[in-house]
Amino acid sequence: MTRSLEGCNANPGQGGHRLAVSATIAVYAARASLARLLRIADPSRLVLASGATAALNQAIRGSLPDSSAHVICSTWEHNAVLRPLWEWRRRTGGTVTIVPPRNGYAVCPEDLERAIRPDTALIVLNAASNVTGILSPVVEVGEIARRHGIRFLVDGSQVAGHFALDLDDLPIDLWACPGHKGLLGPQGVGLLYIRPGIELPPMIVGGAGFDSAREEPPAEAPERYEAGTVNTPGILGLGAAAEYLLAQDWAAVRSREIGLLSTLQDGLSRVRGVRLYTTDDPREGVGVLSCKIAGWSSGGAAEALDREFEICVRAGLHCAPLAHEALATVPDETVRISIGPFTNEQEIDTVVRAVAWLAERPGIAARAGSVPVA
Amino acid sequence: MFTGPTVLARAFRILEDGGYPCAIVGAPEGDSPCGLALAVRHRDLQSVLSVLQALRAAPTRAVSEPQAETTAQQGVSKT
Repeated sequence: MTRSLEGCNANPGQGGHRLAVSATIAVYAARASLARLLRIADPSRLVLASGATAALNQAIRGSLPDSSAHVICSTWEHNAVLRPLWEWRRRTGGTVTIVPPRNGYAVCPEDLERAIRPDTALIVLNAASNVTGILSPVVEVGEIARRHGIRFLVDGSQVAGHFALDLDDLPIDLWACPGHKGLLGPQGVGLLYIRPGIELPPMIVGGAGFDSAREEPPAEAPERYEAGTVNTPGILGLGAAAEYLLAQDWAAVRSREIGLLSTLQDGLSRVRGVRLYTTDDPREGVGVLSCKIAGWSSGGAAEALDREFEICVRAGLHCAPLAHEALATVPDETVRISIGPFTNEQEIDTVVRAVAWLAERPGIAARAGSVPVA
Repeated sequence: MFTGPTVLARAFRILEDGGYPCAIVGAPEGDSPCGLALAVRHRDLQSVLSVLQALRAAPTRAVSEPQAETTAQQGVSKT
């Protein structure tokens, strides 16, 4: 990122001077690294967006007609998916079917297939819940979508960087994820993979740096979807993160994540008064889980963990209101604990002991000014 | 016809990796739709053009580098 600001602080692809050319080459190098990481043969199919929300908006708005149609998604979707769908529904009178979980917290592919209608235009599925961390059956649902000829969008926000992915090989049409989570990049960059052969109307139009005399935006990807100035420092930062990830042993990365998640689950499940919202089998999840601590509101517990232990967790609905409805955690909400590739066993132990400390002292919330549960 | 900077940059990388030293240089947008051109310094320019020509025929075909890619035919200049 520093190199970007010092060595090629110009608009990539928009100008032929040395700085613009340097920026063009640097952004392409980052795009190519990310494409290698995600196993995308043609890097031009990887659109650089401002984040997963922008990428999902582009994918959803670009896939749905202005007239009424039908969309299927799961209970686990984030508001980055739900709100564009609600907006489309209000505007067009379209229908959205929410497929609830079954068999524990997982979505059942057969339930989803039963929801398909003749006018179903899009299936959207969260690859893993940002509330429970539970993985969704992406491959099975993708095969169903292909069998029915329905476009399939995956919100990969919680899984990118957690597994060795092969997007070209997966039965998906569109994939969105942020750069700052598992991909370890800076905030302000996200990715949208658009399978070759699919072209979307661009959500934002403007200068592309070429073919400027035309009224229409360029037809080719990725510039068709990247009007205006891209976040060159952020993109180069994400490219560097991709190079780091490419050097990792993915089996070891995943094995380590499962081990830490297992330790965290085991530890928290032994604390009296703690209820977990996640899978029983860490192999079916990623490094995220939610919990409630008896005697504490989620906000009070999160505040106490921060204040007393410098442990940063997020309380609330986590931008996934339907997920919390399904978990019956409305209005109390939950505390979400996340682990990453640099989390260690000692930190897991610290979290478990901190939660136990809170669980033994529900009254402290009132003394500290937090909001205890009545 | 691919004309954008991403494809041009990809062509640059493929040619470089394939042993064809080249550079991206500025060009008037009227001459090259993206205002950039590939400048290739190589005795066997026909081979360079053959790579680009082949890719122009199948621009989205996934093939192993250095054959993969581009089409920036109109962005190629000989130096």
